[in-house]
Amino acid sequence: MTVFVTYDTASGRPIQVNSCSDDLFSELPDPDAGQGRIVIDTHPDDAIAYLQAHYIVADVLTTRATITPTISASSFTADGTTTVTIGALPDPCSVTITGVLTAGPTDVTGGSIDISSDVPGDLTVSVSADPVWLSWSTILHAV
Amino acid sequence: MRFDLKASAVQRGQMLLEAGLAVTFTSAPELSSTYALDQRTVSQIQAVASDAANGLGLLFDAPVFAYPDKGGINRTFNSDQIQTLYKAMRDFTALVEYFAAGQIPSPPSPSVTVD
Repeated sequence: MTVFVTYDTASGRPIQVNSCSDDLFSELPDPDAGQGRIVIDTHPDDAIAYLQAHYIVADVLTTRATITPTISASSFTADGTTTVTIGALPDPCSVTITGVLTAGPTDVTGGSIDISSDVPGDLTVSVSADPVWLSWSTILHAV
Repeated sequence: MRFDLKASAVQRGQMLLEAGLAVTFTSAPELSSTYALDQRTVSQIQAVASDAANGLGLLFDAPVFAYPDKGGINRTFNSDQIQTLYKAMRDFTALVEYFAAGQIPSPPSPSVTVD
């Protein structure tokens, strides 16, 4: 049995995991244009989680890194000037804010963002830096 | 990078309406509460108040009319009081609309004192 992952060669993002007999695998046509294929040892129990947790670079399956940011506060005053700083972000990354007010997705460089709000409510801050980093999010409370 | 999140006048107006109007009745403290301003509530209060003002009386010709505040607690109004509540709602929602449309610079206070 051969287990293999099909991936997007431009982004390194895995698309699907499949398995078939060794004989059939040797007879498979080439992947579609823009896609690659690598063989892995075993079929993962949770294919979706597996695909989300990995990416492929230079034909090597690599585990996506976990974002471990610093957050200055989980709640802050909704006065339009008080800020929460989220640091240690991937550089670059994409930031999206949803909730009582919204922003993004916005490309961010420098690895740090400051957030203020002039209305109270919850704000979900989502950070992505595909494919190297796993997506990350947190909820801030503007009070 | 900074994300300075600011509500637009329209958003702020919508938030004000969703939060309701805190009404203090000086002559009937038991009615003092926060009242919802959703379209259904305002139209129902308007209908009852208009009928009362036009001499049709309250529902079923009863002397009082009970309606829940925003928290779901029934408050019991007489004819004058339900008209007073409606006027407060009407004026506040109008001011919110004016603010959202940029016709006045500041949002109205979400609390009002009536007799």
